[in-house]
Amino acid sequence: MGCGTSVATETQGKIVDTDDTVKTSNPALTLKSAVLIQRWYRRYMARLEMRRRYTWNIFQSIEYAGEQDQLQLSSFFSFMLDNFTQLNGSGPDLISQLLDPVVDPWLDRETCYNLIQIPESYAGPRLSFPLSVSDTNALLNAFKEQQTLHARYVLQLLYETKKLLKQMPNVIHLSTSYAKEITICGDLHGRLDDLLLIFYKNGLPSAETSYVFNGDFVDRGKKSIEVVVLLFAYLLLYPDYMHLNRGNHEDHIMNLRYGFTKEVMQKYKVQAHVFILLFLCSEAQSDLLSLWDCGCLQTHGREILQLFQDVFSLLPVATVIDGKILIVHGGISDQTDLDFLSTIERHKVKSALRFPRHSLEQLDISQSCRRMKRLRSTDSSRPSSSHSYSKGQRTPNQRKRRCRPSRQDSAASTSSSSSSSSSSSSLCSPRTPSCLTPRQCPASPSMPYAINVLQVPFLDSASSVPLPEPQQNECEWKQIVDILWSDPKTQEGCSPNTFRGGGCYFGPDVTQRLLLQHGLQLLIRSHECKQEGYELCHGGQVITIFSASNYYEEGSNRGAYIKVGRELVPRFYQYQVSRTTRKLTLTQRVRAAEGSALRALKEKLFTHRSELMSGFEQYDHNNTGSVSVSEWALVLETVLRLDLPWRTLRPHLARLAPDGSVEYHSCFEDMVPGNPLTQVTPNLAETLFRYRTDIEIIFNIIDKDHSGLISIEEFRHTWRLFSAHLGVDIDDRAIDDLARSIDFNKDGSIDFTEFLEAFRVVHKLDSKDQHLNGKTDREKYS
Amino acid sequence: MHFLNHLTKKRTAEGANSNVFSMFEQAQIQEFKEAFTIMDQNRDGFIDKNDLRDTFAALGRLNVKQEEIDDMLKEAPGPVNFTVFLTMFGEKLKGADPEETILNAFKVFDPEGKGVLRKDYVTQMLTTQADRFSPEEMEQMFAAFPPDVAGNLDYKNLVHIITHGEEKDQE
Repeated sequence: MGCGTSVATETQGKIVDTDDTVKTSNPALTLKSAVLIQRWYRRYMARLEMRRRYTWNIFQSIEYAGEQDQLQLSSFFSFMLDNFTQLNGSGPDLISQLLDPVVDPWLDRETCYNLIQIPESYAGPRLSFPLSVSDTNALLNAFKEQQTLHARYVLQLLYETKKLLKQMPNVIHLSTSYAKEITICGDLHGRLDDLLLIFYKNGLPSAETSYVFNGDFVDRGKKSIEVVVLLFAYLLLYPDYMHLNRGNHEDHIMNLRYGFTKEVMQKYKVQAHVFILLFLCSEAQSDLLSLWDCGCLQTHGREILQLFQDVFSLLPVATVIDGKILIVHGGISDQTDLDFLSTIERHKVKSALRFPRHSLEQLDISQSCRRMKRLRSTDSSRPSSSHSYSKGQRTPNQRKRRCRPSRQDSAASTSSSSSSSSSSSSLCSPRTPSCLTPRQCPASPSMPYAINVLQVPFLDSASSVPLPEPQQNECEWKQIVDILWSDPKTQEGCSPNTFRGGGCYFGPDVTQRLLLQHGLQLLIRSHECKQEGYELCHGGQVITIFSASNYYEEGSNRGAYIKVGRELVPRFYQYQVSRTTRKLTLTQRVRAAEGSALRALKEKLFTHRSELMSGFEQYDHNNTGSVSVSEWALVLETVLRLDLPWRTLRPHLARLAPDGSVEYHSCFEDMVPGNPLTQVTPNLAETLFRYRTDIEIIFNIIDKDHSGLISIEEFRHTWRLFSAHLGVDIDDRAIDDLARSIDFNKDGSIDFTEFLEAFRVVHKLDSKDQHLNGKTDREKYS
Repeated sequence: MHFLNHLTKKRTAEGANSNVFSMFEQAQIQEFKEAFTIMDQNRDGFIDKNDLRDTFAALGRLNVKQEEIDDMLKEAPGPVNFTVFLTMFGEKLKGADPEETILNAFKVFDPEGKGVLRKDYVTQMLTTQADRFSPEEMEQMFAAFPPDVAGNLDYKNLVHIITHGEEKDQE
């Protein structure tokens, strides 16, 4: 029996009369009601779309802000390493320890991996070189079964890959007359599910199915090793049909922060104490000793990482199909020259975050800092201010904080490529990073920031001054960094990519010029997550392809790949991994993603609490605890500089007082620290919260044997260094108190993992622990 | 009547000056600007026709047909930046209808007050009159709020979820 009224064609007996009644007696009412419903529903859908978009903005802003912080840290290390050899004159050479990787001579002895014993109990795949299809199939199956490849095979695989890559040029040229159809994939970021899905939908690499993987195979996702092992295995198996481009995450310093290093260490660690046990129990002590000497019983993780570093820097940086389609990971700049690019020694650029040596001018810290200060204040008063919404880049004013070259004033600078011309992206290679401290809350938000000059007493006298390196290195470095880090923009021209801190924003004119110059017709790049997995811009001359679906959160985006055949017309294939995604409605998906984004955002607020409070208090003259919505939004943007729609987000972040003003304390209400250490002063605590990731990276670097422990002395050194870098005034006693308050596992050692646990932000309202990037395991191919 | 013409006429009649911003409070303008920015995906300060449609609906419950948008864009003094947008549509921006009103609208089609409507009736009601839903929009609504196996749409539930879902998200 039907309910309510029904369509005129259906006869429902008694209901028909009602039908007619409705229709004939109230035609105006019917119409009005319909209109009301239609408009109301459309508005709801549009608001949903708006929420989806700002959620996206939040994720992206935080992601890029994180990458920028990374750059700051690395630039600090670089500067220290390049210019000063000893800390304090005595004690360990901490600085060189910090960044010079330990190079085992053992690693040059290629066949030493043969000495690595594989225990009987190992049930994973066993590879035989040269690889065959059965090996790659074994790997596929093993990884589907969550198995880990034994370190010995990883090392051997990496050696073979390194040998192969050494023979390859910087720019690979492919032809569709051989490959027929070529499939191009974008960022994978350790998402094994997506890679397997691509292979499932599109076919495994073979003579019939050629692939180009356009960088960013590792970091963020939990299966970076598996992804990259598979890619390298197919590369070895089919060097003519499998092609890999380097991405900006194929970089050991990025890996320190974004998870690949951690993953390797977790999966491939041999504890020193295991060796000790073996030693004590074994009859063949001398054999063991010699094995130890040649490094076979030590932490394979470290060796694996060392090899990855080499292999990554040996990856080609560009691929060209039929001389018409250029494929690079990031993009281009107005300085990009494919011919020059082909000639450089690409493996010398181990990391985009290790800058070429500075010239003599930069070594005078105080002078440079003053210069920086001057440049910074002129910067802030530029017309392209943060108050304008119609800007090409995101708040260039605020994000340019580390991108002014003091080379502008340098008389020695003669090369035009590194001059401070308007289009040059070399502006993004910071010269005096030690002056670039984190933001301090300004006297009033409209004024430029006060910059704390780095107080580093022990660095007063530059002990040795390295000679300036030739300009050549810098040009080469820049070519590569531009290729790996740039993003397209809609406006014409080429400007420094201040959002990322490296590479450029390149406009349609730059694309046009390059394509013309080299007789190309299309640029395919990756590097940016796109809702639909791909996006066209620059009038179709640039395609962004991104292959990690659900990158930010379940349901956040699709992944895609491109296929091109002889006619060179790209065809797009989309997918999305995760069974759960399909069951959720759009509303639920948006809500889930939004929830994640808001949590991440709230954490940002929490870890900048004192700066924000200072800002709010400046507007709250009568100490009422509230400020206007405008003032609240202004303070947030000034401190956090994420370029987000704060008013729209306000209901999620803060409470309103009855008079419509914002009670700013409510921003911080629902978050608490992990396990609060009582001896920690609030100031120190907040600093630790905010820089937790950076501190973790430093600890990881210092912890050479990757045991998770560092000595008190090293802890103190680290902290002093870092607080000098931050310009934060923390006295030594507070550090020592802090160190003492932590549980000591062994004499004088700190388990820094435990220590850092205390500074993980916990959301009070959480009932379950959510991980932003970890939801990989409920797989189903869609 | 064409929206733009309507507005132009009205403006002339009122003798309003070109300062559209005086129509609204500062706080409101800032809110609209934020929403405008969210819609301006490529951040160039201009909204194209796709962005335009979403923006209206989000801010002011406007229902603008594609042809009208095209016409509008043709008649706009230049590309649609925020000021132009506000000038053209400022008056139309109003607040949301309360739950009661929407429920009553549905009830017009359910005089017996069963609380449900047949799916095909809903389809006919919304796609054949007034500001017609496209088949895709209809499909989308049923995907988000599926009728039961008998083909009945629980509109009370739908209204409740949308209204209170929104409220909850605003807390």
